[in-house]
Order: sequence, then C-alpha cells, then structure tokens
Amino acid sequence: MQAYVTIMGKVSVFLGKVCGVFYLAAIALSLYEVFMRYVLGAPTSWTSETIMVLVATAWMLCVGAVTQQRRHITVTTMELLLGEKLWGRMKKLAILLSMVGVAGLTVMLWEPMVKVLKAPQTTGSAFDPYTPTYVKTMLVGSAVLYFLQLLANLLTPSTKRHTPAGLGVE
Amino acid sequence: MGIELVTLYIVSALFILMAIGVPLGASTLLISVATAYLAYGSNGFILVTSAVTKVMDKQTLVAVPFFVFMANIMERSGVAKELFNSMAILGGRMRGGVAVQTCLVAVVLAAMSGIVGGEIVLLGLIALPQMFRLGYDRKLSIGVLCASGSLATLIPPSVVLIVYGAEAGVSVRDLFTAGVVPGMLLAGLYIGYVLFRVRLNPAIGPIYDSPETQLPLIQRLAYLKGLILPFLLIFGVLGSIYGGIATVTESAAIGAVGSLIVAAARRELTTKGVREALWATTLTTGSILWLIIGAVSLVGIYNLMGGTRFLSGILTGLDMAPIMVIIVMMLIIFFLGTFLEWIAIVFITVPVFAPVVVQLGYDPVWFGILFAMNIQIYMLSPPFGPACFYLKSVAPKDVTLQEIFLAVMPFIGLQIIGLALVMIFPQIALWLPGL
Amino acid sequence: ETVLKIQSSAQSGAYEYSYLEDEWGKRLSAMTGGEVTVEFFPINAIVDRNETPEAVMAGVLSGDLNSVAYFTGRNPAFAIMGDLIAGYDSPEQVQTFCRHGGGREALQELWDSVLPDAMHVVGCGAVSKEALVSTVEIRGVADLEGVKIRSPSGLAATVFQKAGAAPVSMSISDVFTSLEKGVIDAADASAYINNSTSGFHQVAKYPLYPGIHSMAVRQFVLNKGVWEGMSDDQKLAVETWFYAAYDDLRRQLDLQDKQQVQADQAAGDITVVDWSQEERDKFRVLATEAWEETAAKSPEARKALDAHYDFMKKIGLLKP
Ligand code: NA
Ligand code: NA
Repeated sequence: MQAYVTIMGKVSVFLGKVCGVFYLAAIALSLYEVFMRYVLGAPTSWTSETIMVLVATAWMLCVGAVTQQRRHITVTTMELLLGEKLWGRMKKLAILLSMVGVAGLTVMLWEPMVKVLKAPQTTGSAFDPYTPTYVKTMLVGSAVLYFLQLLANLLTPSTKRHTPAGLGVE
Repeated sequence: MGIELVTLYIVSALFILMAIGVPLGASTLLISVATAYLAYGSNGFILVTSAVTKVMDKQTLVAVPFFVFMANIMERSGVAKELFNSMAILGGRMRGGVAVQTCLVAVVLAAMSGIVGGEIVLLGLIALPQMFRLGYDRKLSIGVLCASGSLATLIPPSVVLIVYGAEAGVSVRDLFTAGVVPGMLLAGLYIGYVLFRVRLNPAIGPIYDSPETQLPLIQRLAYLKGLILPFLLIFGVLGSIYGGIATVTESAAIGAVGSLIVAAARRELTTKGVREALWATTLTTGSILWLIIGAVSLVGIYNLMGGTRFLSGILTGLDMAPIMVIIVMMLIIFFLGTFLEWIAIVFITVPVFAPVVVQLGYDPVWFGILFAMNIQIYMLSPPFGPACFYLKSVAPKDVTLQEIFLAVMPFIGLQIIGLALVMIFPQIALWLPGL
Repeated sequence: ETVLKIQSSAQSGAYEYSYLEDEWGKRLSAMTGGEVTVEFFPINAIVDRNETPEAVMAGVLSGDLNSVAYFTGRNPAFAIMGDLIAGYDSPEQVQTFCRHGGGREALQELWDSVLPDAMHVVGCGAVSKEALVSTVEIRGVADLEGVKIRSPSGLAATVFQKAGAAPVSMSISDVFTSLEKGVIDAADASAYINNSTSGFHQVAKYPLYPGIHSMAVRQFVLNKGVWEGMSDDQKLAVETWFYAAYDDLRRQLDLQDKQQVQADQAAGDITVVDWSQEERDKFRVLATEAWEETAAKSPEARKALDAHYDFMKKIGLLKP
C-alpha cells in the first residue's frame, strides 16, 4: 500500500515538473509570434492555437502534482473548532467526497472521448489542429490521474503525510 | 424542484462541503456532477463535460501562468526585496507609506492585465512577504493586496467589461473609458482607509527603521535606483500593449521574459532558480485552474434549470422606484457572487437586467460599471471569493483562507461605499466617456 | 404541450436575440394554440457553442438555432454549408438557397452522414451579412495587401491570405484593444449594427459595408424524436414560423444596418467603404480557389459545394 503511495507520488510530481517545460515553450512561442507579426509583418496561423494546446496540456497534467502537494484551495476553519483527531477524520471524509466528484467527472467524460476518437474533430481554423480530440482524450487521463492521486492521499498515514510545501494550502 | 429550491440546495451544499474541508474546486465539481445526474440522468453529463472542455480553450486564462512565472522569478531574485526597501526609504517617515505605494503599483499593474488572477498572484508573491517583513499589520497588508489587485477588472483593459459589453450590446470603448475614474475612486478609498487606520493605530504601519529614511528627500531620491529595473519591466509590458506591439495576453509573456532579463542583469539568474519558479508556477496555476473548472461546471445546469427565468420573475414582480430596481439587481449579483463564477453571473444576470436598465431610462454603460464594481466585491466576498483564493495560492503558508476572508471585510465595505457613490453620482463613471 | 428549448448563436444583448425572443417566441405559441412553445437561450448558456448537437442528441436541448460553421471541425463540409466566404451577395440569396435551392436538404444530408438519425433540420438561412471593421481604408482587393486581419474561421483566413492579407489569430478578448492600439488593422466581427453598438467603429473608422466576406448560415435543428413526436399540423406550423421569423428578422436587421450607416455617414466621423461590383467579383474569383481546396478535403464537402454551384448557376452568380 505504501509502495502505491510512493510510486503514485513520484508519477504525479514528475508530470508536474514536465508542465514547466510546456509553460516555457508557450512563453517562447508568444514572443515568436510578436516578432513575426510586429517586426516581419508575417503573423503565423499556428502559434496561437499551439500555445493554447501547450498551456491546456500543462493544466491537465498538473492535477496530480497539485493534489500530491495538497495545494487545492481549501477552507480550514473547522480545524480550529474541532480539534486534531476529529479534523483528521473529516479530512479523510473530504478526500472521499472529492473522489466521488472526480469519479463522476471521469464517468461523464468517458463517452465524449469514445465518440471523438471514433470521429476525430479539429478546430476548423486555418491551422486546423485536432485540439478537441486531444483535449477530450487528455481530460479523461487527467481525471483518472486526479482520482489515483486522491486515493494515494487517502492511503497516506497522517504521520507520514507530506508536509505542505513552503506555499502549502492545506 | 423549483429553481428557488435548487439555488438554496446549491448554496447550502457548497457551505457544508467547504466546512468539511473538501477543496473548493472539488466541492463545486461534486455539486454539479450530482445535480446533473439527479436532474437529468446520464443525459445531463454533457452539461458538465461541455463546461470542463471549454475551460481548456479559455484563451483569457493563458496569461495566468505567464504572470505567475514572472512573479516567481522576481520574488526569487532580490529585485522584489530591493524594490520594497527603496519604496520604504522613499516613503521616508510617512506611516503606511509602503501600503499606499503598493496600492499605486496595483493601479499601474491593473492597466497591464485584464484578469484578476494574474495581478493578485503577482502582488501576493512580491509585495506580501515584503510588507510582512517591513512589519505591516498582516490583515491590513492582505486586505490591501486583495482589494487593489482586483482592480485589474475595473481599470481597462478588463475581460469582465469585454464580456459584459458583448452580452449587453454596449460599446467596449465606452465601458473602458468609464471604468477609469471609478477604479481610481476605489484605489483612493483604499489609500484613505490605510492612512486612517495607521493614524488610529501607528503600530500597524511602522516606519521603516533604517537610517536612510532620516535623509532629506533630495538624498533619498538616490534610492529611486532600486525602482529602475522593476519599473523598466512594467513600462516594457505597458509599452508593448499601448504601443500596439502585442496583445494583452502576449504582453504577459513579454513580462515573463523581461523578468528573466532583469534577474540576469542582476546576476541572479540560475537554472535552479528557473526550475523552482516553474514548479511554483505549475502548482499555483494548477490550483487556480482546477478551482475554475469546478466553478464553471455549474453554469449550464443552473441556466437550464431556470436561473434566468427565476431572475426575470423576481424583477417583473417588483413595483418600486427605478433606483430600487437597480439596488435589487445589485443585491442579486452580490448574492450570486457568493457561490458562482463571474462568467456564470454575467450569463445569468445580464440578459435579464440589461434590457430592464434601458427601459428604466438608465445608461447601460453606467450599469456596466456598477456591474464591474459589484464583481470587485464578488472577487473578495466569501465563501466564493476568487481574489482570496488567488492570494492564498501564493501566500506564505501560515496565512489561512479564513484570515484572508477576515482581512478583506473592511475593504468590501469600502467597495460598497464606492458602488453607492457611483450609483448616486453616475457622472463619476460617465463624465470621462462623455468628453 | 411541447416546449422547445433552443440554444441560439446570438449574444443575449444582440438585437437579433431579443427580437426573436420577444417578437417571435410568443407567436409560435399563438400559431399552435399553445401546443408548441419555444424558449431561447443565448450562445454558450447551456453548452459550448460547438457542442449543441451532443446536447440536442441527449435531449437536454430540444434543438439549436446555431451557426453551421461552428461545426467545421467535424467535417469541412460544414465550412462550405455554414459560410461560403465571398460567395453570395445578400442574405436573401442564402435564404432562397436554403428554402428553395436545395440548401436545407443538403444540410439534412450532411447531418445524416455525420450523426445518423439524430437531427432534423427544420430550416436554415442567413439574416445578415457581416461587415468588416477596419482601421485602414480598404477599397478593393489590391488594398488588402499586407493588412493584418483577425479572422477565426479557416476558410475566411485562406481567402484573405489569397488576397495578400495577413490573417492573425487571437483570442476574442484581445481583439478590441488590439484594434485600438494597432496590433491588427482589421477584424471580422459581426453585422454593421452590432459592430456599431459594440463600439468597434469608435476605434476602426473605415468599416466595409455591405461586407465582402462572411454571411453566417444558421440552422434551425430539432432532436429527431422531438420532431417526430409532433403532429403534421404542428410540424407545418413550426416550419412556417421559422421561415417567417427569419425572413422578418433579415428585413429588420437590414433596416437597422442601413439606418446606422446613414447616421454614421451624416455624422461624417466614420468612412463607410463600399466595394464596387468589379472588386467583389475579383474577390469571388480568389475565393473560388479556397472553396475548391476545402471541397477536396471530404466527399461531403464536395457535395456541399456542388449544391451551392447548382444554385449559383441557377440565379446567375456563376456562369453555367
Ligand atoms: Na485591467
Ligand atoms: Na464572492
């Protein structure tokens, strides 16, 4: 069980680190487009949509890392009122409820993915990338990642719990 | 189930889930998933998934990671610290000087961003730790940052005004022009409040305890050099927008690269620093984004279940003075702002309100500014106060969400005063576009 | 009683939306003795504008009154059916194409091949021609050279590129500031009256009217089960209602456009640019190449373009 927690955490953190590369690439492409349009007067048809895909990919991939680092924005007022033990149980319940929501989302996202994979869709622009197909598929992946990392958080004993990073939210 | 009950159920479910400690994004997601399923069975899935997919195509949000990255680089390099030391020295013996200066910086930043997330995160990363370090009262610092950082959607450019303009069929140019003075008015109220508070209790806005602050103004001006690099950066970004070089979104990327150049100029640019900044960017942006995903997933369901009809029902039942109708509209927007995402508020209220406003003989531009000012309140008001969430996502870890919510309360009061002023004196908004 | 829940492609603040809802919404109820009523939702209110077919199939919407071109990503044929850039001269021609020239049938056939047995196309048509907002004076094809023009649709971008312009793709929220500050020179936005109320003419003083490029075709589509559940009389009433509403809406929008153009010309601050027929014909020839390229992308697209050609030959827009 602890092996699962460790491995899942490593996967999530790795994917989270990959996101940084996507953001850097998006920044570089934005500048490239400004240069092409303003200096050369030759705007491209592909940068704006590519930037969107890069950034969207990072948004979807990061969910495991955000969950593993317990950075989802949460209200913790009750912790002060309830005492540590009861709050510890409520946190477990909170994770379970999150899992229900995310599992529901995964189920809902499944059919759109199957459909779009059968009949792939593009954006219909001049560049015409397969963004809708890609996003609908990736979303299922990220919802599953979210769920698996929530499960790992649930199984993490409170003594071994990862202390929130410097900017931790929980 | 009537829409009144649905509304009640959504609000109470949100409160309960939040109290249990379910993250906000997961709470809204769970509520929309459950509502869609209970109300429409598997046919309702599309209502949730369509909204979620749509977020991945929200081009206005592309600027958020760029701003967050810029802020992280500036925070990691010594430039933020030096900026605030210089500001403190320039402020001299003036109590609360840095808070006032931060508010002014926020106004300038508002002119280079159309979204709240970017500006709050920027201020939260750079200004908040520095204000704490300089000994400013925590609540005062947090409140000033959340409130002045939200000005991004009132002072042009503003995505809120663009979306309102499209929905209400009003000139974006007029809305932008009309937003300037009310934005300044709010900033003025915040500054006035800070000065008032430090006068009552000097301990909350300490004088920067360094010998330099004793120097005469002329000599203190030498410390302007600490402002040079940050201001070059700001003016570079502003210049790229107002000089017609880049779009507002692209200018955020220019700022990100600019911050790297500033760090390099100070010989503080390291691979490790960039890597850490990227990791922080990923986590901050991710927490904001998955919050938005949850919040947006409620839009379609609430609309389909009759959100807009509910409102027109309320309004047609009213038999009262026109200004009272406007006040009721403001209360409704305020109420919706406690649990919905702003784009949902626009979708639900503007189609119903805008025609009524015109029928009553009011200027829809003026109403648009009232709307945007109300969205300022929405940004801060608990439980669903995005500005507070954004600040939370970057604040030092001992800052809790409840502390932020308490800190913004007086500023919500100031926003209500500002809103009332523009309501009573429409010229505050309308004289500039009228010129 | 059947309640038709319809998501439209109009912004809630647009004249088009309120006119349909206020003036025509209640008429359907009157025409059917209260048996069929309609409830409109503005663009993106229930589902993303591109996903109305899925919502219609699931039954959460009864139908849509949506822009056909939004579905281009499903099949290039929707680009041709949805907005044959620079093809027709007026919305009347498009309405005639849809109602009497085989347009409705072609669209029905297209939906049957993309989503079999799901959608019934009640009708289609265009209600106005988009004007182009521009900060520079574009009097003809030659003036398009090097003009940075924001255009989201693929077919429009291709046509502008063939005319020597530089199509720019950017977020809709960036368009206004970009026009104002000169990041772009022109943008394809909406009908003249809409561009005017949105304040585009305050920053882009050389609008092209009547427009040269785009005329969005809207479809009025119902869930097939809903359609088949109606009696013959009700079906007839719904069909009649749609065409009457769209015909009327077209006239109203035309009137509004013209009134605004007159007012702007009288005020003298805005220069309304009207292309000569010769320039329009030149532009159509350039556009034909782009149509052909799009038609080559799928058999359905080829069929759709041929349907247009048939009709255009009939009315003399193309030489037989
Ligand atoms: Na702004
Ligand atoms: Na709020």
